[in-house]
Amino acid sequence: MMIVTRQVTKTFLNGKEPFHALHQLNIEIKKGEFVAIMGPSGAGKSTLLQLIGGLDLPTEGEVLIDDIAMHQLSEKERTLFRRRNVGFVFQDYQLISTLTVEENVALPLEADNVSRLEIKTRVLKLLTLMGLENKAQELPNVLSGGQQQRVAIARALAANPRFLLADEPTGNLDRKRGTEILQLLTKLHKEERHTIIMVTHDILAAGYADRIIMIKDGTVQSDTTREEGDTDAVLASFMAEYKR
Amino acid sequence: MQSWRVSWRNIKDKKIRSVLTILAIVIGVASTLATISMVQTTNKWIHSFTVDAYGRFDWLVSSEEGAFDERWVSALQATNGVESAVAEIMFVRPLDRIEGNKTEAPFENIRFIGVSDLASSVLDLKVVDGQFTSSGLVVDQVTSQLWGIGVGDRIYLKSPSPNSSPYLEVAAIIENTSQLNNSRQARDRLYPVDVFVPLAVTQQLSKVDEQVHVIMLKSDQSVPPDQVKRNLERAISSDPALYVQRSVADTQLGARGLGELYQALYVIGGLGLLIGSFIMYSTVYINVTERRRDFSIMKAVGYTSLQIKGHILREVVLLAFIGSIIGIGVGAILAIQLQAMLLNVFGNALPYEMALKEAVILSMIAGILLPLIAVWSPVAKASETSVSYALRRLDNTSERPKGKIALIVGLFCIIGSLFITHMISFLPLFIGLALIFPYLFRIVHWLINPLNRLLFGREGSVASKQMLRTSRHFMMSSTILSFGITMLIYISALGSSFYVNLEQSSSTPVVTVKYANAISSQQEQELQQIQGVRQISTYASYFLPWKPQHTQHSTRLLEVNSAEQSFIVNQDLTSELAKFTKLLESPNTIVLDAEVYREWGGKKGDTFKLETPNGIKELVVVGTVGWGMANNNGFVSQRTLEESIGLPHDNMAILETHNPTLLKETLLAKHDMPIKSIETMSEIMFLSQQQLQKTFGIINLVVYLSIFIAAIGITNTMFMNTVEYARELGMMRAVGFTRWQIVKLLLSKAFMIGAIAAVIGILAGLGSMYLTVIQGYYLHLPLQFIVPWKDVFVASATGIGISLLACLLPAYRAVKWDITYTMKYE
Ligand SMILES: Nc1ncnc2c1ncn2[C@@H]1O[C@H](COP(=O)(O)OP(=O)(O)OP(=O)(O)O)[C@@H](O)[C@H]1O
Ligand SMILES: [Mg+2]
Repeated sequence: MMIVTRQVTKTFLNGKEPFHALHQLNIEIKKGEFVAIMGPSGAGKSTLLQLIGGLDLPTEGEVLIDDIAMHQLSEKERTLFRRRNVGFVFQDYQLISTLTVEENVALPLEADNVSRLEIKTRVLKLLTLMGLENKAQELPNVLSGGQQQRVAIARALAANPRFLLADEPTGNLDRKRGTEILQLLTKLHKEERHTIIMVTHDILAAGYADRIIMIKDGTVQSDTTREEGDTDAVLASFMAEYKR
Repeated sequence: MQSWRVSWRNIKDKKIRSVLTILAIVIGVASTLATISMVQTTNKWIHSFTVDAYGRFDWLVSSEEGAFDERWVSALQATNGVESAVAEIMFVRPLDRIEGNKTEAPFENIRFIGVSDLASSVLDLKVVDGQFTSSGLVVDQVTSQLWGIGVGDRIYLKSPSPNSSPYLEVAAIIENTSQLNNSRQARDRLYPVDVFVPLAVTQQLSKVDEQVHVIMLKSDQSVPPDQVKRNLERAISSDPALYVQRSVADTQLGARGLGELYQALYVIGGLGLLIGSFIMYSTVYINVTERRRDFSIMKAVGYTSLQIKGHILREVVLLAFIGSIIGIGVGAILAIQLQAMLLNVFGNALPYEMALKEAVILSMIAGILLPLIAVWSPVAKASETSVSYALRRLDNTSERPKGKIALIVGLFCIIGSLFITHMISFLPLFIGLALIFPYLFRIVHWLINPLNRLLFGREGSVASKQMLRTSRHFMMSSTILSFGITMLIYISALGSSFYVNLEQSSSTPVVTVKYANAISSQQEQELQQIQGVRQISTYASYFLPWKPQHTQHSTRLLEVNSAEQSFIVNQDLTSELAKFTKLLESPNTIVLDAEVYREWGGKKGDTFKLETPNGIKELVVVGTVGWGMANNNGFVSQRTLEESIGLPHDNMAILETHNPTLLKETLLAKHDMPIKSIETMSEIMFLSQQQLQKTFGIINLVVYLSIFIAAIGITNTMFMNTVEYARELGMMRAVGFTRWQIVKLLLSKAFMIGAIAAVIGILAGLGSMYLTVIQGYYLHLPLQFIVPWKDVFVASATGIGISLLACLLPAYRAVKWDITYTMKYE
C-alpha cells in the first residue's frame, strides 16, 4: 500500500473554538491508482491533500507513505521527501510571476541541484508534452488560464514524482480546457503509470478517475472503485446530495 | 465615525505593516527634528558665546605700537558717553609646577589676561570661591579641576634663573565664562590655559609696567554712537599712536568650518525624510496592491474612487498621527544626545539652550505632509482599480528601465555638477545618479552575478533572475544605501587628502609668534641673534571690521596682513602673492583670500570698504588667493598699511630654526617682549589635524547613521518582498525547497542589493573626490587624489553586511510561516 491514513484528525483553532477539519479519517491508496476526492465545500479535501503531500502534519493519527510515518520525519526530511516523491498541482496554479514558464517548471530541479543540461532537456520534454514548447520564455501573466494550469502540471511532473496531487485542477477552467487537462491526466495515468489524487467538485471530472472517495465533515462518506461498483451511481447520489 | 473604527481595526489587524509605517514616519520626523534642532542650536550656541565673549563692549582703543600707558583708562572713563572702561593686557608664560601636585607638571603655557577692574559689572565674573585681591590669580572652574587647585594654592612659573621661580596664589575661583578660551575650546596642552590677573600683577611678570594693550569701552546707550566715537577720538588726539575701533563680535568667524558639518547634517536629515517616505510608499503600495481585489469589489457594490481614497487615507492619517508623536519624542532625545556629543568635541563647558521649537513645528508638518505625498500615487492607483480587476490574477511585473530621457537628464545632471564649486553640487550629482541608477543597477548586477552564483549557487541564480524582473523593489533601497556609501568614501578620501597635506607642511621647522607690541627693527635684530634662529621674517596682522555687500547688518572681521612678507610656512601662498606684487604697488589696493572674496560678494576692480584707524577706507580688490580650508585674510602692501590704514608696524614673527620646541621655550622665558601667542609649525598642524579628525569624526558618525537608516530601508524592502511573495515562497517550499534554500534565496537578494550599492557608492564617492581634486574644490588647495583603501574595504563590507543583516529578520519570518498558511495568504 502506498498511501495510508490512520485515524487522521486535523484540528484548527477558530478563535478559541477547536474545529476538526478532518476527523478520524482512514483511507488507503495503492500505487498507480487515479483517485478523485469529492465532497462539499469545507469538507476537508484540501486539508487531506496537504497532509498526504507532507505540507502539514495531522493533529492526531498518522499518515504513512510506503510505511514511513510523516510525523517521524524532520522538517528537512519531509521537504526532501516532497521534492522527490510528490508533485503538487494547485487550484490557482501558484506560478511564480517573476520567473519564466521554463524557469517555473525547472524550479523543483533547481531545488535539487540537478545539472543544467539535465534540467534543460527535462523541461523541454515536459513543455513539449504539454504543448507549450513555444511559450518557454514567457512570463506566466501572458498565458491563458488553461496554459498556466498546464505549466503547473509540467512543474508538478518535473522531478518525476511518484504521485501527483491535484487540487481542483479544472476549477478555474472552461469546459473545453478542463477536458484537455483531464485527458492529459488520464494519459499520464495510463501511459506513465502515475499515481494521481485529484480533488474536484466537478462530477464530469470525477468521472475520469478509477475511484471516487466522498468526504463530508472530515470523514469518508463513501469510497467506490470502478471495478466493484458503478461510479455513475455514486455520482448520481452525490448530485442528489449536492442539490439539497 | 463607523469608518474611523474600521480603519483602526485594519491597523490593528496588520500589525507588522502598521509598525513599519509608523517606523517610517518616526524616521522621517525624528531625523528632520534632530537635524534642524542641531543646526539651530549650534548656531545659537556660537552666536551667544561670541556675543558674550566679544560683544560686551562697544569700542576698543589700541595703539599702533601695541602697548600704551595705563593711565589712559581713567581719562577715557571720564569721556562723555562712556559708561565703563576696562583695560586689558595679555601675554603667555610657561608653567613650571603646581603646589602640592607631586607629579611633574605638564609642559603647559598660561595666558595671563591682566584686567584693570576684575569686578567690573560689564565683565560680570561670578566668584564661586575666594575673592578678588590686588595680587591673586583668578581661575575658572574648568582650570581649577584640571590642575586640582583651590583658593590659596600656588602655581610656579618658569624663569631664566632656576632658583627664583616666581609664583602666584589663587585668590578666586570663578564660574566658567565665555571670556576665557578654556571652556569653549577642546582641552589640549598646546593651547595655553587662560587665567585672569589684576593689572598690577602683570608688572611683576613682565617688562610692560603700567602698560596696557587695549582699553575696552561700554558706551552710554542714550548717546548716539557717532557722538561717542567723536568724543573718544578727541580724547586720544594727544597721542597719535592711539586709535578707536568698533568692537565687533564676528559670529561667523566662530562658525567657520562648520559649514561642512551642517551640510552633512542636512544630508542625513534629507536622507531620513527620503527613506521615511520610501518606506511609507512601499508599505502603502504593497498594502493597496494586496487589497486591490477588495477595492474592485467595493467599486462593484457602488463605492466611488473618492470613497476608496478616503478609506485608505484615514488609515494613513491615523498612523501619521501616532508616528509623528513618537517621532517628535525620539527626535528630541536624539537631538539632545547628539548635541551634547558635538559640543563636547568642541570642548564646550558653558551652558547652552536647545533650539527645539521651530524644529518641532517643521517636523510635525513633515510628519503630516510626508505620508500624504508618499502615499499619493499608490492611493490614486488603488482608487482607480477597475471593477474587472478581480478577474485577473497576476500583475504585470516585468519591467525595463524607463525611456532614454531619464538617462540623458541623469547624465546631464552629473556632468552639470562638475561645474558647481560648492558642496551643493552633490545635489545634481545625486539626482543624476538616481536617474541613471536603473542602468547602473543592471550593469553592476551583471558584473556581480558570477560572484553571487558562486556564493549562493542555484538559489542565487533564481534570486538574480527574480531581482532583475522586479528591480523596482530593490532599486530604491540600493540607491539609498549607495548614497550613504558615496558619502562615506568621499568624506574619507577628502579627510585623508587634507591629512596628507597637513603632514607635509608640519615638518617645516618654524615658530610663529604673535607679539603684543610692535616689533622694532632693533628687536628684530635681537631675535635674529638668539641661538638657533636661522632666519626671521616679520609681518603685520590686524583684525579690522568690514561688511559683506549683501548683508549690511552683520559686521565681520578681516585679518589684514602685509603682502611683502615671505611666508616660509606656505610656499604656495608666497608664490601666489608674488603674482600680485605689481598690482599691489598702487595705493589702496588689496588681495582677498578666496573665502572672504566669496563672502564679500563683489568682483575684481570693485571697492572693498574697511574700517581702519584712519576711518573707512575704500580699497580696490585686485585679486584673490586660495589658502587652505578656513581663512579670513586680506593682503595689502606695506605702503597701504602705513599710509591709508595707519598700522605701520609688524607684530608677527616667523622664525626658522633647527629645533622649534627649544626655541619656543627660549622665547617664552625671555620676557622682555610680551607674547600673545606662540606655536611651532608642528603644533599648529597637530591642532589642525586634531580639529580635522574630530570634525570628520562627527561627519563620519552622521554618515554611518545614514547607512544605518538605509539598513532599515532594506529591512523594509526585504520584509515587504517576503510578505508580497509569501505565497510564492510557500509554493517553493511545497515543491521541495528546504528552509535553508529559501533563506539562501533571500540572502542572495540582500547580497546583491548590498554589493550593487557598494560598487556604485564607491565609484560615485571616488568619482566625486576626483572631481573635487580636479576643480580644486577648496580653491587652490593642493588636494591629492587618494584612494582610501581601508574605507573602500570597510564600505563594501558595511554595505553587504548591513544588507545581509537587514534581511535576517524577514528571512526568519519567512521560513517560520506554515506552508499551508502562506499558500492561502492574500
Ligand atoms: N489554517 C486554517 N485555520 C483554520 N481553519 C482552517 C484552516 N485551513 C482549513 N480550515 C478549515 O478547515 C475546513 C476544511 O478546509 P478545506 O480547505 O480542507 O476544505 P475543502 O474541502 O478543500 O473546501 P473547498 O471545496 O471549499 O476548497 C474548513 O472549514 C476551513 O475553514
Ligand atoms: Mg479546497
